[in-house]
Amino acid sequence: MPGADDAAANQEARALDGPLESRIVQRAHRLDETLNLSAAISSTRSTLRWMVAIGVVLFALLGAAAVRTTLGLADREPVNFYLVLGGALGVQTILVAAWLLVILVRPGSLSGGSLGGWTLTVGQRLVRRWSSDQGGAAAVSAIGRVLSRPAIGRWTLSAITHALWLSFNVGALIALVYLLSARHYTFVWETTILDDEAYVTLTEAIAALPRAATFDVPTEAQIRSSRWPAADASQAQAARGAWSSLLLGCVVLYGLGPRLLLLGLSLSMRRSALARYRLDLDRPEYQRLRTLLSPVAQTHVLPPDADGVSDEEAVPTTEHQHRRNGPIALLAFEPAAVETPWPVGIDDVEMRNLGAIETRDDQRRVLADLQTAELGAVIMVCDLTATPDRGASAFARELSAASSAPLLAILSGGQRFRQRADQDGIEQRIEDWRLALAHGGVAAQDVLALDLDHLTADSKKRLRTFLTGDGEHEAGRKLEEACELILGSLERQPDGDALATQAELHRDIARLYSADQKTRWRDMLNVSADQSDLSRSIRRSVDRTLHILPRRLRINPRWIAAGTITGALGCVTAATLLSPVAISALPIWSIIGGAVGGLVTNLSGSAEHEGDAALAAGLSDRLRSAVLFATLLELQGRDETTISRVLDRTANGAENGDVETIDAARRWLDDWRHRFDLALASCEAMS
Amino acid sequence: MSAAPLRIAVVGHTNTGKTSLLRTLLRDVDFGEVSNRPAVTRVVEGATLLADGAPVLELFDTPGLEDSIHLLDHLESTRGDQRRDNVELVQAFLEGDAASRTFAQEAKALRQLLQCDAALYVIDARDRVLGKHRDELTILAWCARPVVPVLNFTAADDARTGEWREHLARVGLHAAAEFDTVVYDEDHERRLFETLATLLHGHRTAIDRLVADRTQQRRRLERGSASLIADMLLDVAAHVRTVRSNDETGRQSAEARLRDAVRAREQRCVDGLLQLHGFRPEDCAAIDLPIENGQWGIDLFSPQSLRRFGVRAGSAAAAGAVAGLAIDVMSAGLTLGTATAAGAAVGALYGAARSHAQKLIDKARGLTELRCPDLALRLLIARQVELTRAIMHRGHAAQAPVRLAKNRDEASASSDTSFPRELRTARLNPAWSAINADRPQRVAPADPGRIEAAEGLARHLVALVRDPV
Repeated sequence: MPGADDAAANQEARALDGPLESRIVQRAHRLDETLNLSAAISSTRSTLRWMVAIGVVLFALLGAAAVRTTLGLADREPVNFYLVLGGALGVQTILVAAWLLVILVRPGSLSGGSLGGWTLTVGQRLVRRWSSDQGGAAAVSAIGRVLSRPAIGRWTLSAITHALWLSFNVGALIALVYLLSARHYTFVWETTILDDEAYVTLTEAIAALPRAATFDVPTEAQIRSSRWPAADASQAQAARGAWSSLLLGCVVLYGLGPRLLLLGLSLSMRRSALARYRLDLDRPEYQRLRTLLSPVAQTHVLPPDADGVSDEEAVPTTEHQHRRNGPIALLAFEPAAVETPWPVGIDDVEMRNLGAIETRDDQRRVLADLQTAELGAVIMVCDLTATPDRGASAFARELSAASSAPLLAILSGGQRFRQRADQDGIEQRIEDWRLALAHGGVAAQDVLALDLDHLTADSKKRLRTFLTGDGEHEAGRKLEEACELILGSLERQPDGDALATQAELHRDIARLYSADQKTRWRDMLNVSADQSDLSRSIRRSVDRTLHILPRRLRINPRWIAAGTITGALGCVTAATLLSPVAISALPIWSIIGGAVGGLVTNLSGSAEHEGDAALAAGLSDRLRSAVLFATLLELQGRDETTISRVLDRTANGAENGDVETIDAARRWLDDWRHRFDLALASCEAMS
Repeated sequence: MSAAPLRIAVVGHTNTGKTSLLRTLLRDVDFGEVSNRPAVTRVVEGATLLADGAPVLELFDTPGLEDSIHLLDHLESTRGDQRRDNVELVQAFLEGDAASRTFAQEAKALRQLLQCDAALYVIDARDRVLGKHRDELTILAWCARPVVPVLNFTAADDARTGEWREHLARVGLHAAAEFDTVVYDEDHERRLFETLATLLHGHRTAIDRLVADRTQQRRRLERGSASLIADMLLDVAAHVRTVRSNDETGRQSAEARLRDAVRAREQRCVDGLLQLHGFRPEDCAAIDLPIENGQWGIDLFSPQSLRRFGVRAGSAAAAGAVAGLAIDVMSAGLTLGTATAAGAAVGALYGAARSHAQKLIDKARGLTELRCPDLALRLLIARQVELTRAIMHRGHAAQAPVRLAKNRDEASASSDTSFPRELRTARLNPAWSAINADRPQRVAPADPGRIEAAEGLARHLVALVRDPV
C-alpha cells in the first residue's frame, strides 16, 4: 500500500467534520481510487451471484427429476399419490421447519450450515482460488465480514436458500404439468396398517386449501374408490382430473407459495438490515483508525518563550570546605518521614540538633540561630526520596551565607527510595542532588550518600570520618592519581615488551595503594609472590579475578582479557613490589608472557586476542586492565557483593568500543571515575 | 454552553507528574518528556482533549514550581504600602525583573495559569505536606483561578492521601481528585472531569460529552482486545500439522515448527494489544512474562508456566500432553455434533464428516495430526486476559514495563472457566486458521462460521477482560 496515499487519505478524512464512521468511509473511498478494491468487490459479488444462479438452475432440474422419478415412466401402473406428494414436498417441508426452528431458537446464529451458506462458501473458495491478486482475497474477506453480521448474514443466506427451493418447486411444477399433460396416470392410495378412514380424512384435510383456491379436488366418493387394489383400473376421467389438480394445487400452495413468501420476507429483511448496517467500530482495526482519524486528543506546540532566558544552567564551581573545631550542627531539610530520631549519636563528636526544616518559619529560625553559633560544620541532611529543587539550592546558599562554618550535606533515605527506584534511578537522584547542592555552594566531595535511618557499624565509621574530616582526602583521590599514572604510561608508547610496560604500570598502581593496606588486595585476587610454580599461581589468580568480575563482564571478551591480564600481572606485581627491579629484566618473564597469552586465547576464544604481543599492545586492553586493577584496589576491604555491584554499574555504562587515542582514553577514564563515584555512592546510600 | 474549549493549566511542584497526567489523559506515551528528575519540562506545552473530534478541554503542561518559599517571600516584599490585591501583586511580579531571572520557571507557570479558566494542581501523594506545598497553594490562590488538586501516585503503598486531603480541606480545597498517572483507574478519571464540571458550570455539557465519549471508547477497547485474543485463539486452535506416524525426527521438527508458529502468533497478539491501547512493544517486558528477543520468555509448553497460570496439569496424560504435543485423536472431534437445530446439525455433520474423512485418509496414508494441546490454549487465554487487564490499568505515563499480577487465584479463575465451545469447533476446521497454510496470512479467513465463532469467543472473553464488579 503506498504510504503517501495513505497519509493523504488520513488527512482528508481527519479534516471531515463528522463522526468517526463517515471519516472511515471517506478514507476508504479515497484509498479506493488507487487500490481499486471496489472493482474486486463487484467482480466477487458477480461471481457469487453466478454461483446462486447455477444453484437455481440445478435445483430446478432437481425438482423436475424428483417429480419424474416418483411419477415413474411405467404409466401402465397406477401411481401412489402420497409417494409423489412426499417426493415433491417431503424434504423441503422438513427443511422449512428446520429453518423456522433455527430462526426462532437461535436468532443470533448465521445458520452457516444451511444451503445458502454452502453456496456462498463454495463461491468464496472459487474466487479465492481463481483470483491471483490480493484484491480478490480482500474482497472475499470484506464480503464475508459484512455477511457475518447476524441480521444481514441470516437473511442473505435465507434468501438464497428459499430461492433455491423456490426454483426446485418451479421445476417440479413444470415437470408435473408436462407429464400430466402428456401421459395417462391412474392415482391410487394404499395402506397396510392404517385405517381407510384416516386416509379419507387426511386427503380431505390436505385438499381444503386447494379447494379454497378453486383447485379441483377429489370428492369423498372418488377418494374411497381410489383405494388400491380395489380401485377400478379404469378410473373415471373425472377422478383422474381431480387427483392431478390436487397434486398441482399442493405443490403450488404448500411448496411454491410458502417459499415465494419466505423469499420475499428474507429479501425485505435483508434490505432493512443492510439499510441499518453500521461499521462495527469495536473491531480492533477500526480502533486503530480511530487514533488516526478521530484521536481522543491533539497536542499542539506552543511558541517558545520570548523572554530569552537560557534554561540550561552551568554547573557552578564549588570548593571543598575544611572542617573546623566545634560542635557539628545537624538539620533535616524537608524530611520525608517525621519519625526519624535527630540527631544521630556519634561517639566523641559533639552534635547540635537544629531540627527539621519544613516551612518558611523553620528556615528563618535556623538562619537566625546560625548567625550567632560557633560551629565546626553545618550538615544539611537531605532526603533522597524528595526531588531536589531550586528551593533546596536557595536554602543551601542561605545556610552558607548565614554561618562561617563549612556546609556539608548528607543524602539519607536511600533504603526508602530503593522501594521506588532501581539502581539507575538512585544514581540519577544522587547526581541530581549533588547538582542542586552545587548550586547551593556545596562541593561534590562534601556530599555523603548515607542512610541515617539504617546505620551499620561500617556506615557509622564513614559518617564519623565525614563529620570529623579525618582522612577526608582519601576518598576517590587515589583513583584519580591512578588514572593519571595510567594515562602517563599509555602516553609512553612501549618500544620494548608491551606486557612488561603494563606490569610496571600495575606495580606503580599497587604502590599507590600500598601505604595503608599492604596485602589486602593480594588476598582479594588470590595472588602469591611464590615463584616456584608460576603458571599455577597465575592461573589461580586469574581464576580468582575473573570470579570477582560481575556476570555481565564475565561474558564480554574485552573484560575477560582485562581480567586475565590483571590477575596474571598481579603475581608479577606482588613479586616485584618490594624489590624494585626492572620487570623486563626478570628471567621468568617469557614464561609469564606465554602463560598470559595462552590464557587469554583460551578464555576469550576471540581471534583478536591471540598472542601476548597483540594483546597488550592494544591501547584499549591496556587501559581496561589497568583501570580494573586500580578500581579493585580502590574497592579492597569492601564485601564482594559491593565490589561486584560497583564494578558492574561502572563498567556497563562505559563505552565498549576501542579506545584509540590518548584523548579518548582521558575521556574514557573521566567517565569511568564519574560512574565509579556514583555507583559507589548509590551502593553506600543504602548500606 | 460556550463554544471555546475550556482552558486548564496543569501546575504543581517539580517532578510530581504534571506531564504524566497529560500523557495519561491524552493516551499518548510520547507527549512531552517524563523522567524521575526535577525540572524536566521547561516550556509550556499544550494539548486538546476531543470528544468525537470536537475540542472540549485545552490542557497546558507547565514547568514545576520549584522555589515557592522564596517566591512568596518575594511577592510579599513587593506589597509595600500600596493597597494592591493579590492578583495585582502576581501580575506586577510577572512584569518585573525577577520573573525573567530567579523565578523564570515559576513565572512561566503562573503566566499560563492567568490565561486559563482553571488549574489542576498535581500532588505527589507520597510526599509529606511541607511548607513549600503550602506556599505553592497560597500563590495559586492569589492567582484567583479555581484550583482542583489532583493526587498522583495514590496507588503507591506509601501514599499519604488522607494527610493531603486533610490539609487541602484546611485551605478550602474540598474537591480534590485522585488520579494515579501510572495505575490507571477509569472511575478516577471520570471523577476528575466531574469535579471540573462542578467548578466550571458553564462547560458541563461539553465535559459530560467528553466523559461519555471516553466511557464508550473504553468499552470499545475491551471488545477490541477480546476480538484480537479470539482471533489468535482460533488461529491456534485450528492449527494442524500432519507428519508421518513412524517418522520420529520428522515429528519432532514438526512439533518445533508448530511451537514456533504458536509463539509467533501469540506475540503478534501481544503487539496488537499494546498497539491498540496506544503503548509501545517495549512496554511489555516484565520479569514474570518476559519477552526476550521479541518472544515470550516463559515456555508456553512447560509445566511450570502452566502452573504459574493455575492451569491444572494433574493427570499423567495431561503432563504428557504438556511435555510434548497432543496428538489429536479421532474422538476429540466427536464432541462437536451439539447443534440444536437440524440445519445447523447438517452443517456441523458435514464439517465433521469432512474433517474425519480427511483424518481417515491421513491415517490410511500413515500420517498423524499434530495440534496445540488444550492446556496450552487455556494458558494462552489466561495469559492474554491477564495481559489485557494489566494494560487496561496502565497509565500512559508508566515507565516501567507491564508487570503481571502475581495473584494466582485471579489467573486461575480466568482459566478454570469452561473451555470455550468455539475452540472445540475450531479444532475441526483447519481452514479457520490463518497460520495453517504454508504461507501464513495476516488476515483471518472470512469463513462465516469462523467469524461467528470469533464473535462468540470475543463475547466470552470480554467478560473475562472486564473488571469484576
